[in-house]
Amino acid sequence: MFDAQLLLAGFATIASPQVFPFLIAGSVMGIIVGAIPGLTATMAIALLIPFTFSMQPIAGIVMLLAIYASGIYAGGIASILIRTPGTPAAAATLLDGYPMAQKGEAGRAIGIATISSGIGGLFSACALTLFAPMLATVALRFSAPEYFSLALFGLVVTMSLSGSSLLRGFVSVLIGLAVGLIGIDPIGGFQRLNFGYSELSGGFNFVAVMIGLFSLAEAFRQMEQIATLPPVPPAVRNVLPRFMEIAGMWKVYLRSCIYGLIVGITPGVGAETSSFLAYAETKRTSKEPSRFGKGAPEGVAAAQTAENGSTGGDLLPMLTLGVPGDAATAVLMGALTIHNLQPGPMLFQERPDLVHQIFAGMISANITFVILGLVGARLFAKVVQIDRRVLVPLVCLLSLIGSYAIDNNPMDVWVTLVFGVIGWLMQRNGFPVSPVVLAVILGGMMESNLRRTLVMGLGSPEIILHRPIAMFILALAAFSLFAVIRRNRKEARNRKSGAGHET
Amino acid sequence: MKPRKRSGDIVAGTVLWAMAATIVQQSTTWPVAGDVAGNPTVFPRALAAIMFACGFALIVFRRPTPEGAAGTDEHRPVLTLAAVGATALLALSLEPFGLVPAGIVFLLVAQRIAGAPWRSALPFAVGTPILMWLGFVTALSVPLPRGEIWLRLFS
Repeated sequence: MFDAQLLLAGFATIASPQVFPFLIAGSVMGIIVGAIPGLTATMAIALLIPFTFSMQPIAGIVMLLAIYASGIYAGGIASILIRTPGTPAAAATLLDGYPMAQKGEAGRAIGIATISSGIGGLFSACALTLFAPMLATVALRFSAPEYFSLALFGLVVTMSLSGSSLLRGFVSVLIGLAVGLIGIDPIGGFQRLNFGYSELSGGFNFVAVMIGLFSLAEAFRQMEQIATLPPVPPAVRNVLPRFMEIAGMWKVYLRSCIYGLIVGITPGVGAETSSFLAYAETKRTSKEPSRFGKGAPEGVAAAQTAENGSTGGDLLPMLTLGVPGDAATAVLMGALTIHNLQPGPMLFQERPDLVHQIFAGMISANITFVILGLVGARLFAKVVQIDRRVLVPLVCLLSLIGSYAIDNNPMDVWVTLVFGVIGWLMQRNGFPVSPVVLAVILGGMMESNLRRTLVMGLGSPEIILHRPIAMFILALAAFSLFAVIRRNRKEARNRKSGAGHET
Repeated sequence: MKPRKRSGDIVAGTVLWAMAATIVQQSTTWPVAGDVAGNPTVFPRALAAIMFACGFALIVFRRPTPEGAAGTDEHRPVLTLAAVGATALLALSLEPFGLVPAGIVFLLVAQRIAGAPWRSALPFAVGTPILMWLGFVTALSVPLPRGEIWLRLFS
């Protein structure tokens, strides 16, 4: 269970002059970044990690958590106003949010979206606070076979849910695993695949790789379509919804919170899955499903609640097991590492104060963006119109400066540039980029724990068969892979029969 | 529409083969362990074998055009290539010239590549690196490139 006294002390730390301004700054930056189509919270976190190095660890972490929570929420603003999701997770909000804006209810839609995100985010932050210490206690019993199974499960789910092609997702995972091989052998300690370059003796700097793949690659991708200017958004008025309207949707909120949390906990699955799932389920169980898609407030509420409802769940496996839940938490993991904090059960043993500060930070971030979002709705609505011809070059500059700031090493700048080009080319040819980053993190965990497992089993992997938790996780991985193969085959059959009907 | 071979898949398959061959070749130079439990080549070679197989699948089998891949008339990759070139020049000039001068020139060039008009590009290009210096270096004490040329000239 969590420690209530430590949690209260955590809130006191968050409210201190050394941390509170960074909470506000992070929330504002997250809303701005999330509202601009093409920029994501993941990108912003990756860019800002190096700059948090000079801050107190908790101030930097709280700022990044605030960007994460508010960035996920703010994607809905662009969905509602200009029919373009600010973040991939906000695509479901568009379905009813934009029709509401077309009916002159843009302000009401944004108000419902803001409060719904706050409810989902607070629910998942409280769930994180309750369950993370319990899971960390269980994880103390994990050994090499369990960690190997977890890493494999994370990779399988990541590759299978990252796009329409399983093969391309798998290729991205393989590239990430190969990149992770460069550097020092985890058991033997000798150099491998550095080709005599001392700069590669420790492998590629993970943060530089992340900035390249998530920020610079996206900036290069946007350059291709830079001539398209965003449309003019409608006026935003009467943002604060009536209390009875919000209270009347309590079933929607409860269902969406639970969906968000469960999806968030599953490694490799992001907020976009939870938002669509919650939306579809809300529509299915509604007494008037025909209202959905035409401006039903319940549609906006379901999507936004589930989006932010997944944030706590995404953090849960990252904090307790060191297995990131999605790309954003993979990047947050980099932030913890850069401050010499290794996520996992030992963090709960060695630094319970910091862990509870993180819980308090997450809860505070969800309250802060609701207040800022409601008060500043009209101002943030103008953000969607920022000229991308000015913004995209800025992202390129920040990417290189950010990677330089990690270690003042010019090599990191070139690593970011090379991976930026690789990420752009991959996305251009339909290869997802998120699995590469997750594979770089999980590959090292998988290899070292596989070899430890073989040592434990005296050269035989059969020891895994005698570990029920490891077997359960491997069974989950096999099941999810089977489910995706089945789904892809069904979609391929539907495409063929649809093409046959057309001819 | 019939799936067709895509040059991206062929290039990706070839890259996978090259990476796999490199891993296998390099692994022959690593210390040999007496038993499979401690053998450092097991995982990399297994990975290389899977990469060979995937490379084969990418090159040989046809697949439909993936979602999100570029290919419409609105996409202009030449702009991205120009941006990559400008970013490479920025990477080269950061240490010798420093954040502010290199950043100003880069932002000006990159915004013009993107098609931004001079009246917005110029003030943004000049003001942003200066604000970044004030915010990150002066306020947050983050060490950023100062420009070795200026340090030598004025030391």
